[in-house]
Parts: sequence; C-alpha cells; structure tokens
Amino acid sequence: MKVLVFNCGSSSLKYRLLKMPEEVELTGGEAQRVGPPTAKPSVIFYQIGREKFTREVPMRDHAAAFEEVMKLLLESPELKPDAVGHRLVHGGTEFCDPTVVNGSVMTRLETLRDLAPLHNPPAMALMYACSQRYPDLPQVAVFDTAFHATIPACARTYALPREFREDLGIRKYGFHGTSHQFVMEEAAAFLKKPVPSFNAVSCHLGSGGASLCAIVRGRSVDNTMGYSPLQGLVMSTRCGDLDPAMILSLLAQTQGDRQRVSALLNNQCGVLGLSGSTADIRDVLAQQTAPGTPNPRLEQTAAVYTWRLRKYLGAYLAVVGRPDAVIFTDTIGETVPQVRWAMASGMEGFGIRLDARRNDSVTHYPADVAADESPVRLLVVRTNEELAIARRTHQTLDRGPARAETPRERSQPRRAKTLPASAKKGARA
Amino acid sequence: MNVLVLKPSRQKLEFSLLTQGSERSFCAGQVGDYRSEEASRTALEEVKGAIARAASANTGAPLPSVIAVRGVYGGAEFREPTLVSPNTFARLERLIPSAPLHIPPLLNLIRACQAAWLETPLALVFETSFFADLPAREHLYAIDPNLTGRPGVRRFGYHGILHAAACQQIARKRRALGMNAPARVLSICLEARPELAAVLGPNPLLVTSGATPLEGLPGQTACGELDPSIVLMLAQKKGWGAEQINDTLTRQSGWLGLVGRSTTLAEIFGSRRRECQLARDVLQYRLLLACGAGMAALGGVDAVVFSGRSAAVGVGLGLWLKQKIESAQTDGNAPITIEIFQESVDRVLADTAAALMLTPRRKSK
Repeated sequence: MKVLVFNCGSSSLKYRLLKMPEEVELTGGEAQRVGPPTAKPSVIFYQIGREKFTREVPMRDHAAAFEEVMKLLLESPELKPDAVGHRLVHGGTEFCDPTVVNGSVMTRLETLRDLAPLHNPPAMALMYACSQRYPDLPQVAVFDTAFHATIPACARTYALPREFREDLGIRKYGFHGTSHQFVMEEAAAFLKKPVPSFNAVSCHLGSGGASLCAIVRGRSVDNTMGYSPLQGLVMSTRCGDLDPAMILSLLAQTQGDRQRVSALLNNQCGVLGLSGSTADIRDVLAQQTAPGTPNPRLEQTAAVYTWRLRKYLGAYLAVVGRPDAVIFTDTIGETVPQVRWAMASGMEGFGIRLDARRNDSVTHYPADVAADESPVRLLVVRTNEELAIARRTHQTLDRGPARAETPRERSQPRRAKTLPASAKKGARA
Repeated sequence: MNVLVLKPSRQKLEFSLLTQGSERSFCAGQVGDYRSEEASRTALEEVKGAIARAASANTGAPLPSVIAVRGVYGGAEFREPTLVSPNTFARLERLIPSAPLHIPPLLNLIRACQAAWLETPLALVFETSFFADLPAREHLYAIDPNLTGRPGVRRFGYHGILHAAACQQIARKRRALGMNAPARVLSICLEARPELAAVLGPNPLLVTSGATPLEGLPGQTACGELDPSIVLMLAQKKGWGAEQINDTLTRQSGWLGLVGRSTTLAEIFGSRRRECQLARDVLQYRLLLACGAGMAALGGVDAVVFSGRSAAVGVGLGLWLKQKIESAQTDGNAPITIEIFQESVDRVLADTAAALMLTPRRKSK
C-alpha cells in the first residue's frame, strides 16, 4: 500500500509517499509559500529517488497546494497513492485513535475548531479537497492529542469550577503525541523491551515547539503542554508557563485585546522574548560559548531554557518512578549535545549518568549516550512523524475485516464518500 | 518580651498578642476593613479594645514591647526583617508600582500603629524576603519584561517566613546529629495557598508560586497553575473582562472548584468522601510533580518538612510522597526524613521581632 502523508504548516505543506508496510520512501517534498502571492512565487521542492526537483506554481491556499502535489504525483503511475494520512493537531476528547475520514468525522471535526483555531483548519481544508476530488481515496486522520488520551484525571484536571471543566472542555489535552509515541516505540525496540512494560520520559525538543511526556507502560501519563500548545517549556517564541495573573494584567493593559495578547504569547516570547535577539536556542548557545565579552542576557536565556527543562524532567522522573530510558528527539534533542548535557548532569540521584564523550559524538540513531553504569538509559532517537502517520494509516486501513467492529463503526462507510453539503460549508479558502 | 503580631491581608487584619514565656497567645482575633487611613485607625482601636477585654478577665493588659507586622510582598527591596525607621516609608513607596494593592494599606497601617502605640518599635517582616535572591534562572519568565508593562515582574514565594523557620529547624536538628553539609529540603507550606520551596541550606532554589500567589499549587479558592490560553479562552467564551476572570480564578477555583463546596486540606486528605477524591488526586499529583522538580533543582533530597496551619496533614501525605520519591531514586541514597514544623506563623513572627530588638545593629535613623 502506498500511503501519502501530509503535514500542514501555516504556510507550507510537507508530504511524503511511503510504501507500507515496507516503509520505503518513494518520494517526498514540501510546498512553500502557500497563500496569497508574495514577492517570491509559491514553489514545490521535491525529491524522487535521489533526484531533486523544483516546480514553481501558484498555490493560494492549502487545498490548491494539495491539488498541485496530487497532479505532480499522478504524472508517474508508480507514484499513485492508495491512501492518504493527515496529521491533525487537535482531536479533542473525541478522537483517541487514528480515524478513517468520512462525512460524519468531518462534522465532528468542525466542532473542534474552537479548540484548535490555528492548527486544524489547514489540514481540514486538505481533507475536504481530497474527498471532493478523489472520493475513492481513503483518508485517515492521525491526531497529535490521541496518544495523550490516557493521561489520568489527576494530571489533566485544572483546579477550576466544574462548569468550566465540563461545559467548556477545559483540561489538559497534550500535544506532540505522534512523535512521543513514535520515539517511545523506537526506544523500546532498541532496548529490546516490550512496549506494554516500557517506562520513559520522552523529550521532544523542536526548534519551534517542545514538550516532555511521561510514559508508563507504553502509555502517556502526562505532557508539559496543556489545554493548548502554549503551556510548559520555554519554546522558540512561545512563553510556556506563566502566572495567570500576568495574562490578566496583559489583558487589562490592552483593553481586553485577546488577539494581541495571544500573538504576543505565541510569537514574541520564549527564547526570543528572553534573548531579545534570536528565537533559536542554538544561536544563544553558540554565542554564549563564542569568544568575546559575555552577554548576560544570552546567558540568562540559556539558563532559563535549560532550568525549565530540568525541572520538568525531575517532575516526570518522580511520576514515572525509575524509567527504562530518557529519550531525546527532534531538532534540538537530536543535534544539540549541550542541551542534553544540561538536562542530564547532576541527576545522579535519579539514576541518570551521561557519558560526555558519547553525548558529543552521536553519529547514528538511535544512540545511547548514557554511561555504562547508568541505571537509566539516555537515548537520542530520530523522530519521524510522517513515518509514524504512515504506519497508523496503514494499520487502520489494513486492520479491515480481521478487526471486530462495533455496530456503530460498521454503520459508517469505511471509504470516504463525497461529503454532504452541510459539511462543506466549513471548508476554508 | 510581649509581641503584638499584626497580619494584614486582603480583607482583614489578624492580630495576636504573644507574651513572654507563654505558648498560647494572650489574645487573638481579627478585625475587618483596615485599608484606608481612617479604617486602619478604627481597626487598631478595636484591637486595643480586644486586648483590654482579655486583660480584665486576667490580670492587667500586657503592653507590647514590639509590634511585628507581616507584609505579603516586599519585592527585591526588603531582603530581611526591618525595624521601621523614617526611611522605611520611602522604601515602601518605591514598591507601590509593583504591588499597588498591597503597599498603600500597609503604609496606612504602619502609620496608625505608630499613632496608637507611641514609642513602640515596629518590626516589618515580609513573606517574600526569603525569596529575594532566588536565582534568575528560576525567577525569570520567558517573556520580554519590557512587554509586560511591569518591568520588574518575576517569581517570588509567599510563605517565606514559615519556609525559613522550618528549614532552620531542620538545620539545627542535623547539626545536633553532627551533619554539617547544607541540607537539601523540600519545604511544603500547607496554608490556604499551599506552596513548595526547594531549599539548599539557607537558600531557596525553586518555588511553586509566581509573580503573584495565583500561580503554583491549587489553593483553597485559587486555581494555581493554568495554561495561559485558558485565560484568553475565558475572555472570549464568556466575554469577561480581566476583573471578572480574576475573581473566578482567585475566589471560585482551587479546592472549592474541584469539590464543589468549601473544604479544608484536613477534609480532603482526612476523609474518604467521594466528592473530595478529585481534589485529593490533583493536589497529591501536583505536589509530587513539584517534589520531582525540587529534587532536580537540589540534586537530591534529605528532608521533607511540612509547615502552616494544616501541617498535620503532612503526616499522611509525607509518607505517600516519601514512598514515591524513594522509588524514583536510585539505591544508595540516604533515607528521607519527614518533619512537621508545628510553630505558628505568629510565633515565628514574634520570635523574629524579639530577635531584631536584641540585635546590636538596630537601626535608629
């Protein structure tokens, strides 16, 4: 089965075509500058085998980008996808598993727009476009929140009145689940441990967003992100934890301009807010160690960034007990030894001993950078969300007749049908 | 030494007169509004009246030798207890922009005290002083301070008086046993707004509260830690302004919000009532997270100490935490001791004020 995986950014569309279950990548690429025309034209960078190509073509929105990607693939018969897997950031409380897309699923997704106003709509636009143009192509939605459906009440509940918790759906949802689950499974396989008895703290440290996940018996029991992807760690431009009173004073200061406050907290805080000059922690660390006069603001930025990571690592180690492994992944986790070192040093009481030489010379993945005598293994694992989505898509569609279905599931069509008119209205240009 | 302890808070003024050599206070109570200049004068008249009434039933009214005033927020300005001198007023006035609700009533109260008890020295003791030197990596938020409108905004703790006293007691006990290395202590203050501080020797390295006491562990009616987006979402969904949201987050949330009625820590942890289950689970779990973070900050832990009005809850809670913490630690760590610090904040304040009176470097400017 050839699975086409889509991962929507705000102005980009990444795709990969994978032959499953062999996990062979046939082609992949990224449509950039998706949106209204800018100074530079919209373009698709893509790769088939080892050859690289570019194609300039206007793409006014994600649906148009999808159309162009499909056209490009259908030019070669061997690249015709059999199924599509979509990454969706937010599945609310409804979607705890990868879900075959159909009209009723789209209707239910529409009700989640409020929870993920920024993140879900581009992917949904793609899903609408796909079911209209290729009604026979099965689509599976894979949710970032799904892995966190197992977070228990003690960890997901905010201490708010019942009305807020129940009627407004205010709770911790957790994010980056697809990646946390993927690297946890890779780590368990690497250590030859069965997933159902695998305990870990997974650190997804991206160059943009970042979160830690506490994993007990292969299930997520906590995540540093909360109701939204804003809570928790210091991220590139997101604030992470703040005193709620600070948000209230920002609201008062802006005469209640929520959008301005939201833009500030999402786009101008984090590493950027602390450093005042860069949103990338790698720049901060590089300038910090560069010769010349020390820059106190950069030193503070690095200190706050790593201190927050250490606090949450300690918190999750207390929750998990003695884990099999601490996993580092995504851009910062995979490629910045300094951050791993800052997190793992001085944690001997928790059974964590880093081997500095191994940590500095990671050349292949997964790599174990713990000292031989370390009771807890420290693994650097390369995340691959697209592969994870392809696996789930394949599993979901392949399970087919072998899987015992509930009557409710059976009544829903397995294959996507043309959507009802009511569901189309929500599609965004 | 007789010490009159005054604890002004948002809505009331608590007082307590502690006499020399007596465990119990001679007279204690609370009066309502004290915040304006006039109200503070009236409030102190009521305090005087209460002391006089208590005296008539005993034998003569003891005169305070010193008045200890507890301040909630002293910023980075007040790093230790101070005897009030003329320049204290200017120092307090500098704090008004960062604590506009706390400082003006405190100034009124101090002036009224000086008028009501002429010649009686006043000791000013702040809850935040213990945290004045909290390291920058812990006290800074990931936000450009120039964008917050309050450039000095940073994290503090708000139960420093009890944390400091409880940690000193642990240090004394350890010294008596010949242990001189600085203790790594998780200090848990169980008050209406519980707070955990990770303390190395005399220095706090981490605290759960934030720029205000609203952040951190859930309180009796205050929400504690929240995703920042939740505040924005309430503004949108409810159409509420900052004040209305603040009221809900500070007065209708916390254990009250979780249980659905007002409750106490003793009930949450002491009873098996079903409606308390969620509050118990959430509080226990948040404490465990804070303990783990504290252990990472301290590089391990030697003792857990509970203080505050509900310190006794720590007996059971401490055992649960100890078992969890020890299972996260590798073998070979020394066992963790659990301590209950029994003294009231009034007693600690009285002792602090008495000690200030006796120190030779007394400021008299």
